[in-house]
Amino acid sequence: MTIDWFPLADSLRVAGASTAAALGVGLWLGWALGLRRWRAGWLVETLLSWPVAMPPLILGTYLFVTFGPWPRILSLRMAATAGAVSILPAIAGAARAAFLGVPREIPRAARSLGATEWRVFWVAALPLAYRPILAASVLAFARVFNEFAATVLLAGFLHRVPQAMAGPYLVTLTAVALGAGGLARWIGPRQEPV
Amino acid sequence: MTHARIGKKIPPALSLEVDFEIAGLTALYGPAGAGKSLMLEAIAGFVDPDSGRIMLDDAILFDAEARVNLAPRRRHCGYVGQRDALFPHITLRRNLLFAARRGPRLERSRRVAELLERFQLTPVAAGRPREIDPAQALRGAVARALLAAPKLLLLDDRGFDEALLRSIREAFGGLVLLVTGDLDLCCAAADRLILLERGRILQSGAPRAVVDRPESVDAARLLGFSNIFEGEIAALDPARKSSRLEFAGFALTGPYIPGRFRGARVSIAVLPADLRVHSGELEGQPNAVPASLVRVSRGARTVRLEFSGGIFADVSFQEFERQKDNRSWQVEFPQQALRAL
Repeated sequence: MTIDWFPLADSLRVAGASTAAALGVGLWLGWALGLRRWRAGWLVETLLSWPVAMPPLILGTYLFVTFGPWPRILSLRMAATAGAVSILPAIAGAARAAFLGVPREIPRAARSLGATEWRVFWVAALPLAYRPILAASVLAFARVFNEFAATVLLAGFLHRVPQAMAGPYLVTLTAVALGAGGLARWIGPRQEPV
Repeated sequence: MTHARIGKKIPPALSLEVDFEIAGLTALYGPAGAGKSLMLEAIAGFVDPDSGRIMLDDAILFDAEARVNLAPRRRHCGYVGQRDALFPHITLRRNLLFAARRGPRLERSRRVAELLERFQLTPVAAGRPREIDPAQALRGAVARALLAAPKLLLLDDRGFDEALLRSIREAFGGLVLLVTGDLDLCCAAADRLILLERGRILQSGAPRAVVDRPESVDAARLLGFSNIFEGEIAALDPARKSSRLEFAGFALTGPYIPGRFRGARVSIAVLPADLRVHSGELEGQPNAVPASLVRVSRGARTVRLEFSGGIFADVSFQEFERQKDNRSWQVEFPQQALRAL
């Protein structure tokens, strides 16, 4: 039997797109939230943490109702959007924590040398904070990948995908999850024990 | 004119209220927690004061009433903080290039090379900050700050010595504000000295003048005048340039105190090193007070003797060896060592 890997290719595209989008927004949010005290900071943080506790199914429904012409079949773009929203809190949170972990004298020094915030970000903040952000992104990528693959698979089993494919698929998804965990651990910050 | 008036409350530890001018190399001296670093941070723009106004070369950096608050990058203040702030992921040379942004590329690398040479950093220029020793990292931070062409250099207490300050002033003609806990360095290198304690300026002026003539009890204590007595002027003799001072339990002959009246209360400060100690059995020591020894603490170069009545005297080890078997003691107050506050 030949295994049709087509759903995994789609999953890859969805996961890639949503990670890239969430990383773009999350980096900016994390920097902005870590930079100074915002009056509306608590509101942004509350909204950000909302998808964490929200069941993905209901989150998807909300997104559908908001953006999608109801009842249409899930498009890849919708799936990527849903993925991005669900992983944004993790990435923005990691980015914020990572930026707050940069010793403040380093961006301060850059500013007193006349650097614009743009240069401060690229030279005096991101190079010192990228490890935890990258680790969070790897995990987020794997999560969207697996979530999408599993959903497609489940839907597929109900229709036309032969049951025999379940084994290799499950092994793949598990391997992706484990591999992402290991990779994140490897990329992530090296910390001395307390 | 470069002038700063800064009010900032950080309850409960500190309430800063200072008004001072910066000229040449100005040194800020005070105990830990006096607010010295906070003053630098306020001038650099990292901390917003509650009130006041900061001017650098007649440009307003901060004005609480007019709601002016320039961003740190527009203040032209070079800042070298207490902790190492070289960018750890790039080499020292690229750290310096980061600051040298103006002018054509060749000109920038020339200026970087020149400062590396001046601060003896050329051999380690290709190293990352963590590969070079702390003294080199400090010089690197100074060189980087100078490359941004500041008008005012803010140096927080981080092991600056006279040699480094001298090379800074050779390379840089602008103003320097230095925080230090080293009084010798203040006298050797600074043009102006500001004494700070608990967020208030106690005294300021030329270092020599401040160190020799403290104006208040707090300033005297900060400058190491451990002997401070409050007494009364019993007599004043301008002709012989002397005075008679009465304290609780003893009386001394002091220098003439201009501008005071007989009968006025006066505080007298004496440096421990200016006192002389003798055996109590010796007769006829001028201006001496009998005292009993309470405690002896051996320092690095001198021995500090604490006598009853809060009298402290520093003597050399040699002198202490000679006199340590004294059964009773008297302390001599040389007339010119007495300073009226």
